[in-house]
Amino acid sequence: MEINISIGDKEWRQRFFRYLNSFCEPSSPALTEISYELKHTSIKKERALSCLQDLIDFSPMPHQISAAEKVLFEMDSRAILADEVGLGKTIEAGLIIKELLCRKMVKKVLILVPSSLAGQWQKELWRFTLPSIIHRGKKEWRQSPITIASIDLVKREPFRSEFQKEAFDLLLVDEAHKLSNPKTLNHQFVASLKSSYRIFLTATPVQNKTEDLYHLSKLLHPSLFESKKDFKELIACDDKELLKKKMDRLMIRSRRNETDVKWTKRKISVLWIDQLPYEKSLYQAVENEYMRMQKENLHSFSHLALLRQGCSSSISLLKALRGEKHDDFCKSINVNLNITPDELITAKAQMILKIVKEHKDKVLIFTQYRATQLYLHWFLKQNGISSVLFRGGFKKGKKQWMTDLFRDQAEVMVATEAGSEGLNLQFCHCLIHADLPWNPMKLEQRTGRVHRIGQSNDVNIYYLLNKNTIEERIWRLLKDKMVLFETIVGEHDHLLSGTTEKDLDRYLNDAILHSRSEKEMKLKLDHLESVLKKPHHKIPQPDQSVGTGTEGLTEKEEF
Amino acid sequence: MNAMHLTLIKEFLIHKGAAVTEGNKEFMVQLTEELDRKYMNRPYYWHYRDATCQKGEPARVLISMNSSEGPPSVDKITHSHPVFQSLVQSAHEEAGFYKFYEKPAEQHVHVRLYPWLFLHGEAEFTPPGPESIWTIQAMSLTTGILQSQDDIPFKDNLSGLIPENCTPSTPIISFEHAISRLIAHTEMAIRNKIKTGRLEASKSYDVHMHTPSAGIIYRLVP
Repeated sequence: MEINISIGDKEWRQRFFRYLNSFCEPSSPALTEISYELKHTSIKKERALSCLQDLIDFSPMPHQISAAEKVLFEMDSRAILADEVGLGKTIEAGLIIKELLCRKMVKKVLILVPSSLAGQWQKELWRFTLPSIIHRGKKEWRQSPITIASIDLVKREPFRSEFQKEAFDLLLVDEAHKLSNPKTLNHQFVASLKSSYRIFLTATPVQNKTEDLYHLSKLLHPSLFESKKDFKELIACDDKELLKKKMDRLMIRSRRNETDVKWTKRKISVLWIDQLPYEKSLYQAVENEYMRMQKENLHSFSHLALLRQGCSSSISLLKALRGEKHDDFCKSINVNLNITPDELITAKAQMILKIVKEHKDKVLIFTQYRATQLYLHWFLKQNGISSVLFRGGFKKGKKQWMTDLFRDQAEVMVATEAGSEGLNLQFCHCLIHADLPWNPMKLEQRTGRVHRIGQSNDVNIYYLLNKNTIEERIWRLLKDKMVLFETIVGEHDHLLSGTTEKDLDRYLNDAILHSRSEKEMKLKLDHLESVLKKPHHKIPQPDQSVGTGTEGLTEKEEF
Repeated sequence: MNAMHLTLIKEFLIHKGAAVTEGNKEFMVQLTEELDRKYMNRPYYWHYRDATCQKGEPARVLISMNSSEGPPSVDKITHSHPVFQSLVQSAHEEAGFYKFYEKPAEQHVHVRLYPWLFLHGEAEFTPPGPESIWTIQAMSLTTGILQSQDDIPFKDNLSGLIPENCTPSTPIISFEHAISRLIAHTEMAIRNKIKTGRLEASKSYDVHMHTPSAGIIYRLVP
């Protein structure tokens, strides 16, 4: 063990020497005594966060303190904070920054965030009495130990070179899953920055494939895995102890059910809706054409997307049909595409209006389609309900403005998933899924906007589903397979077992799109469920046929 | 942050000549021009006053531990206000170096006071984890004796001014030499206090006293 001891620095010695030789004003015993007492009483205890005594207005949760302690005292302040959505990763990061500053281990901190979250970060840091500046993309004349910058802005010239020249003590990256591809500018830029400590924040460290984690590890602990091959071998290996040991050095992940937080309830209502005559006829026309193409094996994934858009709103489907790539499809269906605004009304919109009126409080609506978003905004306005829009394309100022408007004035926010990362809407207690994404993790991301730490009320969640549509098919199969759904949503962090979001999507798509019968589809999902139940499951590839449905139970029993 | 920080700021402002009106968890202070210029962040105001040769009016502020709901305001400074943080930092800096005189029990008798150099502070570990080490070391500038101290009773028997009938002696050992020796002695004392059993054998540690406090105390003993 090597121990290096040092006291003050050269500058300190010179200042003290100058003081001793100067004729200064008399010292104050009272002032010196209080300063002495404060310093003496605040010495750092073993494995304890000393910054906690400086926090007056709020107390972090035990799991947040424990995560910060682990990063500081066990992981050398180089880690991925990968807590589930809504558990307070920002608070954990704030604690780490505050403690490192208190211990004088860092003087210069750079926080790279998506531009829409810069203001929110500044606000969160203020809770720790940590002043910071946001780099606005001009020549920065202000000085602050903490700089918040948009990664998309500073990764490009002229800022890129400026930031590469600087040496930061701590580099913190929010939504760090955007660094998982080594070919991207994001990854290369972060790799080129000089920093002693690095903290990455993401709820989904694995986005597309398990190698994502390897690429993140290269930015944090380059020597943790010798090579990509070594990493893959470790994952494939039966003995998971070594892998777990390495992962413990790399990542912390707190789950909701492991925390002491008393979570409010999620009151889930699934509402089955009969489509209105026009939307029904439009949907059926598209479905019939789709079935015809399926028989002739001419169908594609984009045609399936049309069905989903038809379930979202008529206007969304019409907009898609008017697109160039669906010209042929459009000609084949025999339905009136020139309609009046009244015919555009959907049963879902009417149901949403009913829920909003009954709820008499803030309501958040999520949809996947911009056309549906705009339509719902217009429809609610026609019925005297004020609503605001929120989508990824908005600039950060507008996003903040929309959030403020929703909190203070509007009754409803109609949002798309894009850009809703990091959105905190705990003041809202009602969420409506106007349509369903295929990926259950996105569903959880949506719910995490309102059902997160700080939510004091039970949250009402409504799923709006059209009867006799593709939504019914998907939902019924998934409902029957609740274990499967829970496995995906609740335990999606079996990150290293070979299961990935992309694989899952691909397999689900294949099961629904290419199955020649309900029986085959059911069989494929049975197989998926049985695979996911295994401790180290690996999603089968779509081309690895799991039976055609005609083989019956014999095939199934083999799984 | 706690009530002691408020007292620290109050003592600092009094020491710097500000007029303080006491309250329970807060106090009102009439700043001096020097303090206003340094801490209140109103360069335009003072620039305008200077340019027009007018006398400025230093601010009157309320310093409080009660948190404020609204944004930081000019005339109310709470614990989260940047000015509060700056004042705490400056107060610690001001108290970082000191010069005191021990008061004799009997003030009517003429006594000689002998200079001692003191160094104290917290030595912190990097990587963090082990408990910090608090140490106070002193050295006589007359005899060269080095001592470890348990405490420094600043308020009880020390004064910022030379007490009546007391004559401070001139140091025999030069300051430069004394500082070097005291630092070496403190490093040794820290090494002796480290509980090596609590450290990980495979790691190497830096133990650093970032901002030691130090000063000279004229004592009755040589």
